[in-house]
Amino acid sequence: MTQQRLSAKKRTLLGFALLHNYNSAKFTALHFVGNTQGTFGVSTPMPSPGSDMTPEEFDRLLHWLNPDRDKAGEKYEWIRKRLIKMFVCRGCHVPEELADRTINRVARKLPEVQSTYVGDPAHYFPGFARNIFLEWIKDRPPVLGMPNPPPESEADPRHACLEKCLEQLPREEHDLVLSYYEGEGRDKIEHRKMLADRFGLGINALRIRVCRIRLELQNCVERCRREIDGLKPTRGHQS
Amino acid sequence: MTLKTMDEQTLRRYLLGDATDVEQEQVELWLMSDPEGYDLLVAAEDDLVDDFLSKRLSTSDVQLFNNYFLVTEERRQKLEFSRSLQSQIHKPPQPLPKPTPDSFWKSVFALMRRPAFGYAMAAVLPLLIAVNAWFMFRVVDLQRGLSSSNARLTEVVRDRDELMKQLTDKQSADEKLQAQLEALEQTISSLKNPASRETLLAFNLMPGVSRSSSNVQRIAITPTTRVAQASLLLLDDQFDSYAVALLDSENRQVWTRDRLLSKPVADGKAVIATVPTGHLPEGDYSFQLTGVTGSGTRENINRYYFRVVH
Repeated sequence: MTQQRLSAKKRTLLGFALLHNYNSAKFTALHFVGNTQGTFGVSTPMPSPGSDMTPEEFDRLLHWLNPDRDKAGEKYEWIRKRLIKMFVCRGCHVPEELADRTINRVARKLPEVQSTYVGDPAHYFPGFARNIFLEWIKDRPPVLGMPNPPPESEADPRHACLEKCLEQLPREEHDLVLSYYEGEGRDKIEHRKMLADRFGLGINALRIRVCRIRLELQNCVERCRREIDGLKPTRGHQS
Repeated sequence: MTLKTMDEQTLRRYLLGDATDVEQEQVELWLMSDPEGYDLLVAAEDDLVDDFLSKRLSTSDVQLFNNYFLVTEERRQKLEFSRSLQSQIHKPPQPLPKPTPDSFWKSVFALMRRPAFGYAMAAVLPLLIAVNAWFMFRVVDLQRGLSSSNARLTEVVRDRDELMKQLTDKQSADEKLQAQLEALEQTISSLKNPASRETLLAFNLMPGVSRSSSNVQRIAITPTTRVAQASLLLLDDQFDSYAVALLDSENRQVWTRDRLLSKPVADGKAVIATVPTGHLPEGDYSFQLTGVTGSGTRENINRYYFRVVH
């Protein structure tokens, strides 16, 4: 076990990688001891068989994403987030694990294609993701036919939490998220156009804004519910 | 690559696991290309969940929704949250509580507990303090002005009283002067009257003549003679002033006058004694002339005899 001190900047850079592996059943990516410069490292790698990424591979991947180390880290996060969503949409219940496997595989393949690849590196990942998903579904078929969610209950603490979280929103966001869902059918479409005009946004930009407010609300409600239930927080992959 | 609005249906099929392989590849490449792709995909998830809760999905889509879309814990949480949100959005408005007698005070206290009230008070308080300070300053200024005016008023009243006193004194003096003026005018008019021209009888008396002498001077006093003026000739004028006493035949003093000065006359110097004729009935009289020095020493000098006849 090797443990070396990291500079703040390098801790930040490594942090994003380690953080997203924290909740995985196995550390499948970015586990290494030391790096090519020998200036930093992480402790206790727990590699999955055949899925590790060496420090050299990690450095090469980041450099390929962007020569600037900080921008490379941001790009890494951007790609990983979308890979997770992609696996969720394909019905995978371990999306983080498959996303990390995908990144590892791209990193290992990189020496062969780096010199000839043209275009946005992000476009290179979906093809690998599909193969990873097919391999995963072949070994472990997805669980289908999930039980229906429990019926709504008035005693659900989410209701009280939601009211509280709505009150905590800034007035404009509070009004927007409640107003956005008014109306039905054609009226709803016209109402949303009017809202978009009022806020000086396009329809898609309005949808995105409401979507983010809604996500913020959902996270707030979950925190509130955990406080009520006295449960320890669990890491989700939403952001 | 960008996904157009019309491809929302493709997105929905992708979320329900009903997209073709080609559509899947297109959506995933779009997801990795479009900066807004991720957010729009999440928004499409929200819309799908809302449609499910609003029972706007077809039967087959509901089946896909339950068996495919809800496969992850994340999405089940999203469903629960969306259910709560829809309940909140479509919650009927609460009926307004009936006003109670103390609802006004409750609303006032509720208003005072609101942060906005605190902010408003914080903004207004300095203004109130400033206005109050200004009024205090004005009151003090007015009180100072009032004190000054009172002092001036007192001074004016005092001046007025003094002037009134002066006026009264002056009126009194005027009245006296008027009385004197009237007396003078009366005297002048009486002097101007021909009947009064013979009121003064002047005569000279020589010293040394005895009473028994036959050449004692006779003074005839008429009824119109009011005053007899006697010039008592001096042999030697050595005194600072003189005193004259009128004596009758039995040497009783009937009239006297002090502090008389000598005056030059044709025969030398004389002391003038003016006697009202009321003191001079018929008979023998004499003036006793006394010299008075500066130190007050008195010395009998001469006696002047005369006889009054009517």
